[in-house]
Amino acid sequence: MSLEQFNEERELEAIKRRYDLIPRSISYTLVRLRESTEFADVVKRLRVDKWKDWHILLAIHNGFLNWHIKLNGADKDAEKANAFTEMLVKRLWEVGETAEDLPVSIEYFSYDSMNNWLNIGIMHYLQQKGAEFGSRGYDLNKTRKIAEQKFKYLALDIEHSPLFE
Amino acid sequence: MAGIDDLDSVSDQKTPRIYRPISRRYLRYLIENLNDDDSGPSIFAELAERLIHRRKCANIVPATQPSAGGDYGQDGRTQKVLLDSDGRFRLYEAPPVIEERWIFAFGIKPDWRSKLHADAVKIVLNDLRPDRIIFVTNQFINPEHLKIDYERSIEEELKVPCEILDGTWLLSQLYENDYQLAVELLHCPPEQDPELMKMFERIFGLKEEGISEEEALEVENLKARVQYRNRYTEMPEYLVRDLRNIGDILSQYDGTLDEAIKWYEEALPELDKLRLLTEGIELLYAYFVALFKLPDGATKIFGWLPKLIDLVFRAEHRSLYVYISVWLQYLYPTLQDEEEYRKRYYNTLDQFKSLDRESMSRLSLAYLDEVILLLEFVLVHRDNLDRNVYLNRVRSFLEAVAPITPFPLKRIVGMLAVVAPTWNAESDFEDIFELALDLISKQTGSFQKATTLKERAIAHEKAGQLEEAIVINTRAKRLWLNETTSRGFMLVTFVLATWYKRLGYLQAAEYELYEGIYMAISQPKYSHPDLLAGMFIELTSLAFMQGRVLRAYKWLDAYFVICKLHQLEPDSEIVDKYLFHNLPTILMRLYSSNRPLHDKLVKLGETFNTNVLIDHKALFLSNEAEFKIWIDDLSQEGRNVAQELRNKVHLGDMEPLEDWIVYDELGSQQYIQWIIPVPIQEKLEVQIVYSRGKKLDLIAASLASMLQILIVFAKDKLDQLTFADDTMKIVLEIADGGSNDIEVIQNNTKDGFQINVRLVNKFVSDSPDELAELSKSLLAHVSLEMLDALIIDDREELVKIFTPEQFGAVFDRIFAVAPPLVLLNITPFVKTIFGEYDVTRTV
Repeated sequence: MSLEQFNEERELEAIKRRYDLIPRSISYTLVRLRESTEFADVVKRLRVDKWKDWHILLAIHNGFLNWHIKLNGADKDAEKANAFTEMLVKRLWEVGETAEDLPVSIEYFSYDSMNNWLNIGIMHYLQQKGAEFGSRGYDLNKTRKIAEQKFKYLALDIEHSPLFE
Repeated sequence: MAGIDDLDSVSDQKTPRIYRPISRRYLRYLIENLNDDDSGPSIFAELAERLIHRRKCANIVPATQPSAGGDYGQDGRTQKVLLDSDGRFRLYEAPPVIEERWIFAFGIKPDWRSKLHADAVKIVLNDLRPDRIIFVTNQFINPEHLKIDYERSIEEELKVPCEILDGTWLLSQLYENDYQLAVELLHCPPEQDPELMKMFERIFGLKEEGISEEEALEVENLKARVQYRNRYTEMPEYLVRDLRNIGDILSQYDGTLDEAIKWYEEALPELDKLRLLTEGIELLYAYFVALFKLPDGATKIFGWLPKLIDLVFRAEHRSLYVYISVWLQYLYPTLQDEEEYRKRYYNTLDQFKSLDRESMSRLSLAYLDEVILLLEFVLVHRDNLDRNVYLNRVRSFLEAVAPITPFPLKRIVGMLAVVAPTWNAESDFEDIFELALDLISKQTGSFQKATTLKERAIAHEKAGQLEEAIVINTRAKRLWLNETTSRGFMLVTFVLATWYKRLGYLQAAEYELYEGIYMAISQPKYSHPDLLAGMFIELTSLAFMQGRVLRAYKWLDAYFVICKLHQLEPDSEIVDKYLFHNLPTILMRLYSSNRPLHDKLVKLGETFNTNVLIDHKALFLSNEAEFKIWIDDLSQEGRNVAQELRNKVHLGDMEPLEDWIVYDELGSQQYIQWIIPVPIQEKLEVQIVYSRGKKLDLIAASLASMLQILIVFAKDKLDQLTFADDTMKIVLEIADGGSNDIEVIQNNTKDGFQINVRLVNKFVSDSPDELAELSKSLLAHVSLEMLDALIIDDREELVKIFTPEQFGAVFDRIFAVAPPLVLLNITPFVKTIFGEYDVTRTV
């Protein structure tokens, strides 16, 4: 009846996978963001909120996808958006971001947007854990609380080379 | 030649019995209890002087008069009166003028010896040269020789003759000769009303035929009360009850049975004035019991039986139906051949059969079916009808009432036991008798089980496990739900209410109290006014906690009504706290913040006691001219303070009150809200919103209490769920039409997410059965939809638990008497408070 039980080992493996895959799939965007002082300020604020590098990576990844979905006009139609997202994710996973991809503006990754992208990631994450969301609107800060409380979502991390200052 | 009997009779004629509006015993009590606290010495001195003047010597002069020469241990003395200006010296046929010099000393101290000795010594040492010292005391000196011994002892010591007039002398003079003095000085009731005097003659003419001292005193107190009929003008119920109580005491003894009957009969003319019909029913029942002991009692009972029947039907207290069958059956052996009696029997049975069963709860139906069965039993027996058919109806009845725990099985089981010797040959008798025995032993055994459960519940409560304590105590409560254990039931509902209150579930707490109130009022024979009054105060407190001041004061009004009804003294702390302190304070705040509510509350407040609001009205509701007059007699400083306060209140410039909950009971939109602790989000705030009106007010309160109780009972399950939100708004609406009786839908609005509950108007009827069904359906639908919206767990299991079908078993377990919506519609007092925004009194 309730969601999947917490399993720390499994969670840490998933985190490791994110560290492995995400930097490869959005490498150009990450380089530009790391060089941006504006984004460095955003990161500082996220650190205060206890964000780990993998949260930042995940939020950037989700933002990247969203920007491209909008850019291609797929956001108006759920079916089209799903199909486009699936295709884009597959390409990013297999090939990764290329020099030809239109760069996402740095301003797009504001503090609020980063939070929004992470929350969207958390919704997907909880669905994988067995959550069923209805058609009603949800307060994403409260779903984040579920991820935190049930799966230590903001607390867990693995050893890795630092990605952001 | 006259025999001994004749001589006795002559002797009686010579000393006619004296009747007074009070008894000797009571007068003795008044004399004995004169003390220093109530100006006893001066009253006593006057009483003694005047009695001595009337009965001992005509020329007594009080020591306080200049002619008496002041107090030298003396309180009075004999003296030749030359110029008698005191009217009392000429009023009566005087006793002899005493030529000797008598000195009088008065004493009211229990230690009369010391007082007499001290005064006598002082009199002698002051050289007053008495020929005799007369000491008057209010003490009753027993045995007599103590008095004589001490008189001798004083005479021997001081060489002056001494005489003691004690309480016995005073009592005898006052009661037999000078009762008017007792009226004047001891405030005894006067002998004016010849009818009353006749009544008193009866009571004092009684021999104490086995009546205990307590009972005699109780009769005495009651009698003192009933002599002033004016006090009963507004509440004839009191008079009937007091007269019945006198009758009840006296009717226990053969020697006072006739007297008891006369007291009951004193009350009969009041029957048509009663609003509380149960008082009349209890009076007639008691009267019949007394009459039944007389050889010709049956005829008289039959004369009054139509009145009893009429009252029982009009009172609609189903538990009293059985009174009718009792008396119809008791009269059967004597009157069975009388046509009038037979007609009455059949008509009454038909009247029961034609009652509207649709509007009755299961418990009421049980009482109705019981009385029909009991009445038909006589017919089966007399007309030699098929006993097995009848017995199988008894079987069906027993099976139907078995789950209704409050229903007492003793009468029907008793009936089976009585017929056993003649009916046991019937093929089904033994089976049915066993079934009855089994059920009644379960009922009796349940009470012991309830005690064990209660002890466990208290242990949970002490361990801080309030939810578990409530669940266990609710089980105990169900077992106590029986008219013979009604006090236990009421106590347990009270305890449950306080536990729900501690959890913040105020509507669930209210529901528990409604159950207790229902039990107390619907079983008038077993009502417990002390608990009932306490429940009204608890409801007052719960209403205040919601900011519903109008409702709170209506409950308070109900409290005063109950106190008045049962002649209980309202608790002084409650009177001070709620009336004299809270009401004016609240009104000052409401004056500018919610004037309509203020005005309604002023009107309601005046129904309690007009004095409570005198200052409020003068200070804040008066015009400038009236206000100036009002403050005129204050000091300058007082005027300034009053003016400043008036300005502040008029400008709404008042400090907020501590714990003041702002709630507008007159607003178009009403709400009930509470907080539930839930996993993950920690708390869930539920709010039920509805438009102001009686129907929705009742439904909202019912839904809130049901959800709160369910939350407690389902706590273990809820703790396993994953809540994705911490607020839930439920909007109640009544629609005139629709495809479903109840429609519950999730709704995203511009103001946020909510659940809309739409009830079809025609479905919200007054029938208890339909209301019970509506309650069940409402709770199942709303709780399912609410959880569906709130949680992100797999829904399949949830749906399995919360379908109305699955829900039935839980539902029946948690609502002992009836679901809240039913109770709110049928419970006296309660039904007049919800959704009522005017200021009419509760009763």
